[in-house]
Amino acid sequence: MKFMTTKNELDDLQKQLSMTLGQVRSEYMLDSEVFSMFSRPTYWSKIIGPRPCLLVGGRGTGKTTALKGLSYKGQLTLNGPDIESWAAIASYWRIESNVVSAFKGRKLDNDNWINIFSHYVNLRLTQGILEFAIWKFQLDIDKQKPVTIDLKLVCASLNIDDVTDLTALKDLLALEIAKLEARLNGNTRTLLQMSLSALGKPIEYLLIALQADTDLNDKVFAFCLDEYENLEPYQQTVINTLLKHSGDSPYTFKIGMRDSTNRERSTLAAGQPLNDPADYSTVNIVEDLKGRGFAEFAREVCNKRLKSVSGLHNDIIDVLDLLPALSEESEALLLGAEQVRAKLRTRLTEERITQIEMDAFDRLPILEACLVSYWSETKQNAPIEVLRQAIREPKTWRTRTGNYSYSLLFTLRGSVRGPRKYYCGWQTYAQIADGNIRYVLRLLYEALLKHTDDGNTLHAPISAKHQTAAAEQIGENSLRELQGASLIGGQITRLTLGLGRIYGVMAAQPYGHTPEVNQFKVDTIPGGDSTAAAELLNEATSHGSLVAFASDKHAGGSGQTKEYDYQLHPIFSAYFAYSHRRKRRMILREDDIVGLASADSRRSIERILKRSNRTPAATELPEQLSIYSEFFNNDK
Amino acid sequence: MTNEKTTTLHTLEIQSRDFEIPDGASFLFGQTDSEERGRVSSGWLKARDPALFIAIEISEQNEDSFLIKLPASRDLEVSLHDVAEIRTVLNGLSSPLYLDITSLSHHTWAPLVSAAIEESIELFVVYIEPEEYRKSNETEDMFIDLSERTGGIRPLPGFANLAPKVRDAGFFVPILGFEGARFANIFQSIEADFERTYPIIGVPGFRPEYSFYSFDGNKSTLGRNHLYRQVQFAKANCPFSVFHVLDMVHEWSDYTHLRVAPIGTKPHALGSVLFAISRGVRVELIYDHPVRAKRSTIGEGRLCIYDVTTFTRTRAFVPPYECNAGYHES
Repeated sequence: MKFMTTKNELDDLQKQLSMTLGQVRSEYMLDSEVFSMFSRPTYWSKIIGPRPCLLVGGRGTGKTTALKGLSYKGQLTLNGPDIESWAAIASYWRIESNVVSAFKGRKLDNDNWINIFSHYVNLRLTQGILEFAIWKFQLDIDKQKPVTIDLKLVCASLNIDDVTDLTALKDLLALEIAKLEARLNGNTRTLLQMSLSALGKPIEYLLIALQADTDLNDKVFAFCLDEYENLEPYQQTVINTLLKHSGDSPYTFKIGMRDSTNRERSTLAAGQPLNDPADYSTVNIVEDLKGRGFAEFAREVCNKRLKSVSGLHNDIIDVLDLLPALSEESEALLLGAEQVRAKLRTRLTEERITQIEMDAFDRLPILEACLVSYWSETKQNAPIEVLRQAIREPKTWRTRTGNYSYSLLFTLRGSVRGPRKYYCGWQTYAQIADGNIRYVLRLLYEALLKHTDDGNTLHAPISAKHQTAAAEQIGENSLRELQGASLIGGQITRLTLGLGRIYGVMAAQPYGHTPEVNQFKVDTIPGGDSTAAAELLNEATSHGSLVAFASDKHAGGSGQTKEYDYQLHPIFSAYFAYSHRRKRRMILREDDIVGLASADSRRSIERILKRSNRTPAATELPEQLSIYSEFFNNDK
Repeated sequence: MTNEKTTTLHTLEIQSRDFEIPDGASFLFGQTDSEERGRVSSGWLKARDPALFIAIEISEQNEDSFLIKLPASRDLEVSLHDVAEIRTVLNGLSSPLYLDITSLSHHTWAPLVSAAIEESIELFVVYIEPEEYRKSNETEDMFIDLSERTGGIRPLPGFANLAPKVRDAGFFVPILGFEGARFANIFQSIEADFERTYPIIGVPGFRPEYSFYSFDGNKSTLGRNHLYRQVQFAKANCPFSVFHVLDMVHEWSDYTHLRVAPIGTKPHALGSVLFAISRGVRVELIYDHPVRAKRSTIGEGRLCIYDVTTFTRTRAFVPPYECNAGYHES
């Protein structure tokens, strides 16, 4: 009976954890669930207001939550029905590939599609306004303040029958969309014969008509568009045109996109592209969160979710307490530093060390002692000589330990079973997530699952072992997700596997090399396959395998070409066992990138490592990578 | 191979050497050199009496059209978006029509099936199973290399769905094949809800072990949020079996908007298309248009003939939320 009770309690707890932490995608959560857990992001003040804004961030960075939070439903839930207290009056539209891709092909030229798609955009955005307006006008009626609205111009601009109330207009819009759908599914001739509307006019007329309600005077309506990258280039041009002219209009745009590097900047007016910052502002979510305290924001989000787990309402569970860090000394001991010291002691004895020197060695803190072995390998000096230097220059030795202690940790385990490195502590988790709130929640959830599976409660801190196992698991899950993330998902997966293996080997074989290399820059060479490499890098960055950052911080603005350095996303660091910190870069060639993404990735890995006199064979695959042993070792 | 002939309600399973078409029928087919089952035997075609048998080859398949070789006529390019044109071509063929979809892409045969049903043309759909699939040496989820890459999610011709209905309340049914990456891609792209997702796996498969390949190939996504607990099953080579499962899931959703991704077997894709035709705007097909890898399959397996017309006259084909006038009991 007691066992069953315990088992049920565990099931209940894990189910609650799943509901609060496991369901991390706001895209399909009920709006009420999204808003109940809403935490205002640090960049909130940058996205509200009349200025158009691009909100840039990969999956899981909080774009959708922020845009939904801005929408009228979000503001209604968060702030109540008084629109004066709202951050914005907005509608939300998630752009779906399966819908917008219907507007292409059939050997129609772009001009035809621009006109047809513009009409669809008019219908869609007008529907968004109507949803809010119907609610607002009903509220006015309830308050005995009915407003009469003139919809003649709206109807004329849409080529539909004149109506006098918003609900009738909503019905007619649904009918127009159904007609458009029927024509898209019919023959091209009838599609081209359809009556279309001029881009932006119905929206403008409706917003002006709504100002008959004095509460809406001087209010700017915001269109929150999510997943802008799903639009075809010409479709982005259509939206850009509306954005460009929004300064003269009673509306603005808040546009969510995965990355800002591969997008259309032109508008329908030749020679008038979108300009940053003249036409819009850009908020890069990850950079903003990291610059202004992502760890704090993430902590707030996590603590809020943890609080809602039943039974904790009167307790305060803080992720800082749940996820304690390890000092480098403690971690070194867990990784087998004492065995390293013992082995080194034996070696020093064989080298006829004096008793005084041995006593000095025994007094060294564990990391300084292990560094003797590390430095001996690096400089190809006998350990006894290195120790004598450490004894002679203790201050220098301590500084050197500080510089190399972190990379030293990756070498301690050797070929003994167990984690090659520990990844624990709230700050480490926040760094691994690198500005992606979804990753933080997944890491925490996975760690708690492992923690509670072992019979622990939420009042006990999660062990380093479980935190590390969780980080490895999330890294693996993120790798698997890459396959489905892109049209070339298979290639991106191979590229990630290849880079991860390279960095893992470099971390395990650091002697004589720059420590903590986990970034790269791509050199262009004559005759190289720059198009293929560029496509891979763009897709990998867009889908979160790589993090791109400008090599030259001062390059920017529209029309200027930026060069980028790339880092394998830190979420993979635990899985491949390399440093998650942004440190040093290596140079790769375009054919390296293409080779790593190909079916012959193994040879590219060997070739790249050989340049720094390393070989993958000298470093066993970490246990967690054993399922890919065929991929890394297969001879074709 | 055995000399087996199996007949279920609307399906005939035979060996391809036993395939015969009745006198006076039309046979519409495509051809490809990238698979062994992709070429209709020229000997078989020549052996038929041209006075009694009309064979029409779809010689080219493009994104928006196909090229058809009409008898005693020049080649004709037919737009996949021109329903009237497709109907004219089909009405010009003798009845019944046998449409071999083995070598036809979904975006080519789906509008043909739709037009034939709308025109009440007596339609039999033919499909040849492969003998086996080529295996991959790569990572787990790329177990079977059927596709080089996908062409991107876009509607099949004639199946665009625009209206922003209550999508968020609707269910998602991915009909799974071996390629986990395709499932993962679509699942992420449409931001499906785990709790309202009901994958379908072909059981029994073309071969008994193939069902396990499907589980294995898709285990990354199925393993998340315990999605494997919601898997439903339908016979891999039966479109009508999957039609009934779709109907069952649609009922669970109270007949709200249903998104179906036919990324498994071609018979299952046929069942999905029939379901979408039957249920109209409440069903949305999500398809990623893969670029097929060459030599992805080996040999020929069973040949299946599906009596689509008889099936469309059964009660099952009429949505339960509409008046049931003019149906036949199945």
